[in-house]
Amino acid sequence: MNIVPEKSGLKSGLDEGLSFFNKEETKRPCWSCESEVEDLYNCSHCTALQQFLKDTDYFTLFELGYLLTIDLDVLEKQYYVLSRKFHPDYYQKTSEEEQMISLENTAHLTRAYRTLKDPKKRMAYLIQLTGQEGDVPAAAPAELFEEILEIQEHLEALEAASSDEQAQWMTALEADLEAMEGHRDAAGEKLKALSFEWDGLEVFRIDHSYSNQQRNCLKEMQRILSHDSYLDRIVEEIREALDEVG
Amino acid sequence: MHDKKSHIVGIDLGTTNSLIAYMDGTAPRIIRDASGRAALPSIVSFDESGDTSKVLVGEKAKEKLVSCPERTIYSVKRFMGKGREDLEEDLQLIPFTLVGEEKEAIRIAIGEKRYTPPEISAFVLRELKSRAEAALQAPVSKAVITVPAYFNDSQRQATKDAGRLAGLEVLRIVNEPTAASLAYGLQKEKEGIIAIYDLGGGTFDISILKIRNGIFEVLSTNGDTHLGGDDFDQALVRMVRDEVLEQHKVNLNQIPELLQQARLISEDIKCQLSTKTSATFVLALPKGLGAYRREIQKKEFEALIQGLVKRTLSSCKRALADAGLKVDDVKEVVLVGGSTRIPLVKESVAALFKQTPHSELDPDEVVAMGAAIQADILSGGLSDLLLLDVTPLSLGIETMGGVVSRLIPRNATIPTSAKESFSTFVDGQQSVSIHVVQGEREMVTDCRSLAKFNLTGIDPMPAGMPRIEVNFLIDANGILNVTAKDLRSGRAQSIEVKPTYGLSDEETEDMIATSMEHAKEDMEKRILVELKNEAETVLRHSEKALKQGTDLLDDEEKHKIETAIADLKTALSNQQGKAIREGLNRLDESTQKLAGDLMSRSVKEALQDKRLTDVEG
Repeated sequence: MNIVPEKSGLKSGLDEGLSFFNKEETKRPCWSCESEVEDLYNCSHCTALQQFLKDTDYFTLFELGYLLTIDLDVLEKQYYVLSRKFHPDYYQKTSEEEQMISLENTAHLTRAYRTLKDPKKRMAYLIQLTGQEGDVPAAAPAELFEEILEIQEHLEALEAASSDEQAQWMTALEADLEAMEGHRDAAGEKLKALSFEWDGLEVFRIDHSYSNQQRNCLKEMQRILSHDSYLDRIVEEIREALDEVG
Repeated sequence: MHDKKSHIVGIDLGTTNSLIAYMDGTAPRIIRDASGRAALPSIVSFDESGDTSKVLVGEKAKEKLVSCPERTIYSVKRFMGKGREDLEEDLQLIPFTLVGEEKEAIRIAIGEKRYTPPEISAFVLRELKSRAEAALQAPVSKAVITVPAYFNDSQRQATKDAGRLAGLEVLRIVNEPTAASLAYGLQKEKEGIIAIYDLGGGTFDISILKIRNGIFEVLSTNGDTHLGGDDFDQALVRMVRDEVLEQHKVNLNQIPELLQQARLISEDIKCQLSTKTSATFVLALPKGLGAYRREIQKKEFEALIQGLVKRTLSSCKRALADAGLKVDDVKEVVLVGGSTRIPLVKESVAALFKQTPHSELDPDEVVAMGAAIQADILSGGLSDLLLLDVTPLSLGIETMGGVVSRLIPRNATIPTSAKESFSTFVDGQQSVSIHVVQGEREMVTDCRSLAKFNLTGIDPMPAGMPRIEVNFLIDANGILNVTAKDLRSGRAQSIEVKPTYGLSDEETEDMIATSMEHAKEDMEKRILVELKNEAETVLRHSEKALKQGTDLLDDEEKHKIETAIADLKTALSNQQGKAIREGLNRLDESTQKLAGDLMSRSVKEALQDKRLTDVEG
């Protein structure tokens, strides 16, 4: 699945020059000099690096809206900008406390980037963030049960096969692989469509008050995402089995 | 005297050779020894006494490989952070003795003493440190040390320990291919996707990087910490060993000196075959058995190593897949490490990436240069450059049934962290143990055990009530740090760490303390040796002078000198440093007049001679 980098009509916060932080909410005392900090990252008084606000979600950290179509190039640029602000390389000569903040901020940043960079992880994170559903476990699509049972049989047969029989099961599994990749690509397309749908529903705040339409969209995303993870796993399993003999 | 700027040095602590570099203005510079050699062989040799003050390091130790194979340690990097069970295959081809229990750091036995791999590496680091101090005319106490990208947590920790034991504050552990990319990128101001293929003496790494606006972002890395030039040598050794056994009925495994010789000849043959199509292997056998002689064709050698080279290519493919890239996306390929001089390696890499790989920068020196650049970044010099590296292996914890629950995936950019909540299973339980593993497999038994943690001091509560949040943080060195918090009380939880293959902090502290003690001891021993040499020389001269100048002395003077000589001889035989020093002073004092008289007589004689010659001439 590849939702990005095609540019959608929707713009990220960065393009608009918007800040998704509410100035009032970000006010807090500096850990170092205790004067009030207004700037997001550094104290305007003593320039000490500040810890992230507790519960800053990944979308907010990157100053993006709660959108699923993200321009990866913009995301990367923002990641580099923030890395240059936080990275421990630049805090070698500061106090131990500031070094620790730099380390924790960078760790949080890299985790956020890793999640947002990958369209599926991004979607799973949004689902979790909205608190609509819990985790997104891998689950087999019900309509594919029979096919999947057959694949398991083929996998077992290949493992037990003598060298003369191998070719036969390999051919069968190659066909299975193609079929599963097809299903996975279809799931990817569905996820892509759902991402566009979500972005059109204009969710600006994560406050657990969603319209039915928004709720349904999240539910459907979760369902397809579970299938997709499952299909990913089985494709990988078949590939490994084929690699082992081939 | 000019201002002594404290330098942070960059060190490439290699399997076969080690190098040290520093930043000279804006260019990295390798520090060479007096004879202009950049590479210090990573070899440490002990004499029969096992005395640490008489340890040889580098070229001098290399000379001992064949004459003292049991006490000359090479390729110790391969044992860093490892246990006995990891090394079964190596044991039979190593002439020195490795000891250790399962699931414990391996130790090297030298006589009665036992050394951990970090302690051996520390000898190499100390040598590099003093080389740098002599060249820079300033103390060196801070360093960036490189490790293979595919080193796991225990191996990184062991490297850091080695630095500490050598008296170096290790500011950063940097991955070798990434360091190489810095040196390469700085030189060329490249942008785009590059692949660094690093095949050294003992390890192989492939790293895929994206360079953009001075940011070096590692996208993925893969490799094998037990695959390198050593293995190519060993492939030859095995062939020779089998043939010698068959043709001459001599078992090299039972003759360490010969085995070592075979290994060294193999290394030489390997190098020869990089430029020639055949080379001759000659090994002298024990007396009366003649010699083993064999012409080895390049093709034959290539057949022996083909499987190993193929393994590196599979790693490259996996790294590309993990980065989500195809061969065509890679703009340039850079070769690092001495083993990339082998034509088969070069050709294979070129074929895989469909382009001629770069090797303009010396593949042996580029890593140390990169380490010096990173050192400069850390000291605030090159602030435009930023390196974003990754952790090579997934990090997880053991859950029910020995299954791994993955917390941080491989190729995650570091520093990074993950949180996990834990609770108790039985009422009133006051501690929870957590097993941290590293690796890509599903079952704990197939992964690398890193450490076991005990969360202690939990308030007694019904089962499942306590909520302890554990934060796993991988720092910029790729080393795991763990902290825990009781979510109910907000209190920090104490953690007891038991690294599986490494040394606990206490053990390292102990070693540093012992090495300091030994340092003092060693110094005293060295001083005594020097004093004894001086005393022997002075005695020799004094006795000679006494004989020559006996007519110049009265009885009292003569007696004084004779007593002083006798006293010094006694002090010397008692090996007492202080008494030797005093005896020396006294003898010196008592012979001063005689020395002066002798001197003037010889001058007089010389002048007389001269006059005679003048007359005659």
